[in-house]
Amino acid sequence: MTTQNTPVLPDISCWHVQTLRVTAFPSPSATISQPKWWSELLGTEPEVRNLRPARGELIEKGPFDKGTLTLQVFPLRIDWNLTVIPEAHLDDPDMPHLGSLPETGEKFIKLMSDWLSNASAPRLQRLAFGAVLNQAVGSPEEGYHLLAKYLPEIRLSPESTDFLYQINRPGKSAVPSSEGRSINRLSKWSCVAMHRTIVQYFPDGTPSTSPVGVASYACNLELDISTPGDFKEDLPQQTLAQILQEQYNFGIDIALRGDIA
Amino acid sequence: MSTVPLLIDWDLSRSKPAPFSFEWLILPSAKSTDIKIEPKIQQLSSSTIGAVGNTPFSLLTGTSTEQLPITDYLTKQITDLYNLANDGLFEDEQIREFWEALSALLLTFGDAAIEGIAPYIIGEKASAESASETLKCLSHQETLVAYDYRIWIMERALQSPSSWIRDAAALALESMDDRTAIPYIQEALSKESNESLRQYLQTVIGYLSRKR
Repeated sequence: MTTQNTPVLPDISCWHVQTLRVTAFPSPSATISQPKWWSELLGTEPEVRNLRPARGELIEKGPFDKGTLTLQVFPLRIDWNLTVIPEAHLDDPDMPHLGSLPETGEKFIKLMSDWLSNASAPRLQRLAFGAVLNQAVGSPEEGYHLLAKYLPEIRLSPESTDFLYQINRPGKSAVPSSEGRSINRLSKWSCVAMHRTIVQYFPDGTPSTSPVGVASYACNLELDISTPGDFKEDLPQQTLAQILQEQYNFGIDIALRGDIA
Repeated sequence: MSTVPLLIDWDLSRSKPAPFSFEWLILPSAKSTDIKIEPKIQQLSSSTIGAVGNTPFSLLTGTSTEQLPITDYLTKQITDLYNLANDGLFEDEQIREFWEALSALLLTFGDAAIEGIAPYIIGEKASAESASETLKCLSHQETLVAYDYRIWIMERALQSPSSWIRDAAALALESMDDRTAIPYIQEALSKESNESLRQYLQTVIGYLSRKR
């Protein structure tokens, strides 16, 4: 019997969410005029609303879970972004985050699935799930050591620097009516450091900087899971939520198992 | 006590250069004890960083759905272009210069150029004449740059309230020779009230249907 030397990877909950995103590319035949998606979805009005009808643009913002939810509607794309509230982390020496991937991700996907299942959801040609995730480590060396476990095909030594790895590993959809269609699974891997600095400007404009605390480090993973950009038909409206759920599951799989062809 | 602006900067860097920066800009307000915090989160990725400034960017990352930054430079170029065009494109020379400027923006900024142009065509900030010239120009590019976005804006322009722009959109789609536009032209045909434009849309559908 042979034993495979498979590295033990951390639990999925070790990935902390910096940003979550759903991007929807509307069909040319979709007419989007001052949508009420925010109030329909969240039951409240947004804290910030910026409407520019002449440009076909709308930006709305408000709290959701532990972060700030932003809806951006442009003629060619609609973005829902969940990001950290910077003010909430001013005294926190760790990297700001929204919580673990499974915990935060499931709430966000549930909200977005509700949007896509809503009768007022626009017809779409393309749909994407994006995430920026960090996994805290104690040092750059530890970061590269951990990264090497997620990227078994790459040789990374502890003294490596400036490493950035991006790859698309297309998968196949199993969602009914989209079955067998290609799904882009783009992942980007790196190590990041966070330095907290106070920059003080004196009345004459001269800046003075002073570091606060110690630097913190993390493995960084960016996910961009999407339906193909060259698909020119409308996606089946009744399965949009399923497509998104499948994209999220692909993302979880990459965060769990690393870059596996 | 006098107040001074403070900037608390959290720099998330991948060694060099720093692709992420979290900044909290603390500005002095009227009262020295009342500090206003204005968060500014900026994120640049390797696939978008090249689009900053007047720099051509790689088109190899076609699968990415990250939003390309529409720079102040690009915004100004587009604004200037349409301010001029909206005054009227009366002579061949003016039309040629408009096409050259638009083509240069397209080749330099790709998809981001179409994102910048979209409000003028869809949001009706451009005159019918300059919107029509834009669609014609986009259909005559001998490049695959921003192909999907160009097709999209032509299909979307079929819904314009202006019959002049709808006509130009149909003409542009005919020039693109892309059968995938047929369902959107059929949908436009079902809503079209202008009889001569209805006939033209039918002609375009017939033409594209014969394409392989």
